[in-house]
Amino acid sequence: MKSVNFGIDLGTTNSLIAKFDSGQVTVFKNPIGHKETLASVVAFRTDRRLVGDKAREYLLKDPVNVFGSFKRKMGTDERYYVVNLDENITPIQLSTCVLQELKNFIHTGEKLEACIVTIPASFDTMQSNATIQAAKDAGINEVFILQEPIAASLAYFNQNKEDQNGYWLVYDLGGGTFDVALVRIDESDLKVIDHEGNNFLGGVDFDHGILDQIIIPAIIAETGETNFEEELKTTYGKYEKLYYQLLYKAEEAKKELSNQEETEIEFDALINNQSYSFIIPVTRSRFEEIIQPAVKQTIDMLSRIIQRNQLPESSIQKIVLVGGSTMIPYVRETLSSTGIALSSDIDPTTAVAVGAAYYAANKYYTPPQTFDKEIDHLLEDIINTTESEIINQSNLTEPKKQLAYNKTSKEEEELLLVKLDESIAEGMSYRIIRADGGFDTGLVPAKIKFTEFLPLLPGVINKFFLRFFDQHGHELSSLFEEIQISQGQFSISGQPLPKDICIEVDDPENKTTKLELIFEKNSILPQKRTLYRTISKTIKKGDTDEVIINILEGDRYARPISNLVIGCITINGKNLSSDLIKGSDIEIQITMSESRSLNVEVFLVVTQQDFKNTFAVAEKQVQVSRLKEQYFELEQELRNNLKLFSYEENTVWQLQGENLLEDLLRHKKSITQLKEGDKSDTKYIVADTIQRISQEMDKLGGNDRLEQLQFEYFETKEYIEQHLELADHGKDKLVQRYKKILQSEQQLLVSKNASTLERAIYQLNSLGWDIWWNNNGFLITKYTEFKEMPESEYTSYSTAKSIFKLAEAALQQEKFVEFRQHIYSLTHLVKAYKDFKPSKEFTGTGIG
Amino acid sequence: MTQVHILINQLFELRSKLQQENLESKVERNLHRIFNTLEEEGYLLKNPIGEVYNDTRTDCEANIIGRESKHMIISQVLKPIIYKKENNALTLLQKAVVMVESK
Repeated sequence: MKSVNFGIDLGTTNSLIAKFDSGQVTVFKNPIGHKETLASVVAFRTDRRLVGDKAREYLLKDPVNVFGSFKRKMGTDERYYVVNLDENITPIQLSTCVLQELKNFIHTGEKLEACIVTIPASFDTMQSNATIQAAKDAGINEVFILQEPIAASLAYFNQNKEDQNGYWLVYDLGGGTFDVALVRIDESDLKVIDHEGNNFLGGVDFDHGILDQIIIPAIIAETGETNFEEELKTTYGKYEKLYYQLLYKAEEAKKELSNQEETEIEFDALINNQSYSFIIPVTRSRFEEIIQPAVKQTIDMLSRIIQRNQLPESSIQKIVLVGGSTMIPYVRETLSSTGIALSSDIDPTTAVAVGAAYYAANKYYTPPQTFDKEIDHLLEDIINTTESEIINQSNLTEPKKQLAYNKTSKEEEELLLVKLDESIAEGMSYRIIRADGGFDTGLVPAKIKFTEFLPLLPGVINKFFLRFFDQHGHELSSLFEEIQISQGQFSISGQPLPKDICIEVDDPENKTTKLELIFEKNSILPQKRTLYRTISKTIKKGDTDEVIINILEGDRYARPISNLVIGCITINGKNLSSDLIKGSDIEIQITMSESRSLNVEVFLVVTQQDFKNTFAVAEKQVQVSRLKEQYFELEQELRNNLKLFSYEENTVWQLQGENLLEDLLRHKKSITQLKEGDKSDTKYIVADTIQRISQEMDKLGGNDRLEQLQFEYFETKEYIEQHLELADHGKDKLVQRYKKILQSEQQLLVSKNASTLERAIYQLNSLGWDIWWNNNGFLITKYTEFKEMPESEYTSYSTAKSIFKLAEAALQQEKFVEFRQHIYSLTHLVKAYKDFKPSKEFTGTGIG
Repeated sequence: MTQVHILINQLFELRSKLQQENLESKVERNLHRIFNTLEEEGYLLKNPIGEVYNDTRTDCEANIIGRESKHMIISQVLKPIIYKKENNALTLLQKAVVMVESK
């Protein structure tokens, strides 16, 4: 025995499927468009079958092939003649199509063997049996029926554990239909006592009300076209486009009025060859006037039920609200005026399906044993046949298929060719869905050979799912195929980039610069991108200070100097029409053509100036002031590493590092003397040397060093995680900083670049120190240490003494923030701490 | 509908109005910047105006104007298509609301 668990709301307008699992109900979403609801509409197109929203689009245009609201005809002998099929189809068959489509919502891969299907309270035995038949025809072996008002009540009770005994009203106002039912609960026994309904009353009527009573009169008043309404509503008339637009606007206005007191309906229209712009205000009270008669009708039906059953309002526990239109405030207010409490805690759109799933959790069925029988038969066959016969037989039972398509493409669509063998079963169909939900062929009859054009989304891997179904709509899972087509990538007709293209930007935290990716390695040329950044330093008009836009080619994870500069634009104060203010915006548009020529356009928002340059990659770009900065940065980094290697007694790495430093220092004199505008080759020679040494420095120690640094990184990370809690001040900011460092962790580990890892470790260590400087215990220890220091350690001991007094007072009063400030002040007076101050101001590129 | 959807739809409407009044060029840079920022957050907006329409296009909710034919194009867009890019794959967040007509 197995629990049924699945519940289906097979609605007149929309249908849903939900599942109970481990105490929770999940409403499945349509893989196409990701909505929970499926329009209960079936379209028989010339070459395919569509179910759902797409089918609904054709309801008015192709009424002889598209059918909706067939639920009303369940259990009758009504037949729909389908012109495209040249055959009659029953409401049961149409419901089967909807149920089969709902099965596709189950993304968990489970087979729908049993389920609860809900029916209106008004359904008689014939209609109930017809519903069961539809579900069985959809391949569901065990089908149980549940009345919709009971399902809605169950959804409510499962969220609200209150006393349930007594009478309940279920008020269901959907998009196109209305139902109200009286439910009696007696010790967990739920029963529908009475019901009323109107199959032609719902939210759609409210949209039409806004159109007819607000929009059309406003248009007539403005244009004077008295027969406008007639023309607007003429099928295939000249205002048909406007009609749909206005209906859409009316629906939007209705939704907005549920949240706000007034809104505006705004549109442009060409009426009698004259252009008009309309802004029509709509208040909630006006909207309420419009829907008042319809809402009154529902209240009247509700009252009739109460009177018919001779129940005082006080004997009704609550009104359970179901259907999207119950979200309209006026509907709720009017219902409240009956004096009966309203339930508003359940989602009115999904309540019936959710309730059905709760009911399904306690309903059991015996799973079919067909699988075991199949195995038994198969085993018997295998025993009685030869090996070659087995192969032939398996070929017969499962049609072979061949697929042909391009796995990469630069086109907007690609042709898929499918060839099936001749053993193809009669009535087999296929369906192709793009994974994002933007393309669906619907059910198409399969031929031995067929083709489909698959539309592709640009610049991504497009995934398609090809499924085959037998004549009963059951999926032939063994024929399932996932098709992947990369659009715009690795195409033989385009030229892929051999290396990353990056821009050098400032990294003020580490007082250096870093690379930011513009075009990724293997991207297909041409490429274009606009970057928006801010200026990180003020440059006054006429000054020599400059902003440097450096475009580099190489490895995005390496330090800028390891990469090749392929384009550089410098903008100094002399180029400016006014001052360039720190924090102002800079727009940089970078284009790389198929022939790899680089075009850079810079726009300074404050000065409204454009700077452009086109570079051929063969042309090296070296900017002297930046080169000098890079030289000294590299020297410093190399020296730091040497200190570390010496401390770790790693003599091999130390020796290699010393050789690199020696090589670098050979150019110190020439770089120091180098002037901007130098015509010699010196700057190119030094740039080459820096690039080479930087790359070699990263390779020092090979994998051993990388492993050591990775280990150190994780160790430091663990330390931070353990100590973050200790921060008594500014914890949120510290946590944010930590998260920011972690954001690039994946890239960091992929990069296999020593300097990148070192930088991350440095950032973590620096964060570690900041945690301590925000810990009261550490600050007190530090204070004691400062107090015990000899006078000679201070630059001004008298000043220090006055700070001691202030710190002491703050500590006694437990003013820790103030106390911390005094400790900071003391650090500025201690000679040893002066060494930690930055030796020079960081210039960088000027781009933040 | 999320707040981002609302924001994108409003921006789309704003741009359409500016285009109608031939004022888009005055704020082109600003709009480009806004859409670029949204793109960096993974939101991709697509205006399918002028594109071919058929019943396999589940990225659009269509209102068919006039009689249906085999050659239909999108003649008006009330809401754009919105995709979200994650792990180099796109997910459809919002279907476009469009008017389609025979060519």
